[in-house]
Amino acid sequence: MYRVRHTDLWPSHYNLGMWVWLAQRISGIVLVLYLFTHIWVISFSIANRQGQEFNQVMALFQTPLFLSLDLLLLAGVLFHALNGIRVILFDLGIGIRQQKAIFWGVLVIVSAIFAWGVSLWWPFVQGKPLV
Amino acid sequence: MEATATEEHLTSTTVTEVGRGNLVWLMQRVSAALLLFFLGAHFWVLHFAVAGEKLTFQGVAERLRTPLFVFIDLALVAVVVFHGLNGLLVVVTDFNLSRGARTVVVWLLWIVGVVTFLYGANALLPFMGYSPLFTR
Ligand code: HEM
Repeated sequence: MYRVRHTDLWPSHYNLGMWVWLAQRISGIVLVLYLFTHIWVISFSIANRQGQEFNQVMALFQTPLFLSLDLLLLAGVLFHALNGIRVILFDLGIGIRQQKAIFWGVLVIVSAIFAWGVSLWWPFVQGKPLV
Repeated sequence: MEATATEEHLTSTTVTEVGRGNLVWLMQRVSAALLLFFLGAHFWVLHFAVAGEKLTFQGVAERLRTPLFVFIDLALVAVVVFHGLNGLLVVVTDFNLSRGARTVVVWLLWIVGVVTFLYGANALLPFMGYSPLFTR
C-alpha cells in the first residue's frame, strides 16, 4: 500500500513532470466522457437496417460547428496518446534522464500532426460541402 | 540535468504509485499499445484518408463488408472501453478506498464496460445486413 504525501501533491511543489502527469490524467478523464457519449449516441441512432437516423446524426456531426469541435478532440487525443508513449518509454527504462526534452519533442509531434489535421479539415469547417 | 532527483520522481507512474507488477498498471500499458493501432486506424479511415468525406450508413456498410474491418471495430470498442474504465480505476485507486469500496467500483466498471461493448457490437449488426438484437 502507499500513502500520498500531501506536500508532493500541493500545486506549488509541482515540477514539469507533475503538470504533465496531471494533464495526462485530465485528458484521459475528458476522453472517457467523450467516448461514452460517442458510443451511446451512435448506438442509439441505429435502430434499423435502413439507417436514416444514423445519416441524420452524421449530417449533424459533420456541420462546421461539430467539425471544429472535432479538432479539439484531435488535439486532446494526440496529446494523450503521444504523451502516453512517452510514459511507456520511461516504464521501459528508456529516456528517463531526458524526460523534459522528450516532453518538448512530444509537443512538437502533437503540433505537427494537429496542423496536418487542421489543414485537411479547415475548408469543411468553413463550410465547403462534404465530398 | 537533474540526474540527482530521487527515483520516485523520475517517472509519472511511480508518482501515482500504481505499483510495478500490478495487473491494473500493466493492462493500462498493454491496452494503450493496442489502442495506438486500433484508434490510429479509426482516425485514419474515418477522418484522414479522405478529408471531408460524408459519413453515411451506406458507406459504413460497404466498408464493413470486409471482415477485417468488423474485427477492427469490435476490437477497438473492447480495448478503448477497457483502457478508459481501467484508467478511471487507476484514478479512483489514488483516493485510498477501502477494499470493499474498491471491489464495488471494480464491479460497477465491469458492468458499465460490458453493457457498453454489447451496445457497440449490436450497433454493427444493421450495417452487416442483420436486424439489431435490441434497440435503445
Ligand atoms: C492511442 C491512444 C492512447 C494511448 C497511447 C494512451 C496511453 C495511456 C497511458 C500510457 C496511460 C497511463 C498514464 C500514467 O500511468 O501516467 C493512460 C492513462 C489513461 N488513459 Fe489513455 N491512452 C490512449 C487513449 C485513451 C483514450 C481514447 C481514453 C478515453 C477513453 C483514455 C483514457 C485514459 C485514462 C482515463 C487514463 C488514466 C489517467 C491516469 O492514470 O492518470 N486513453 N493512457
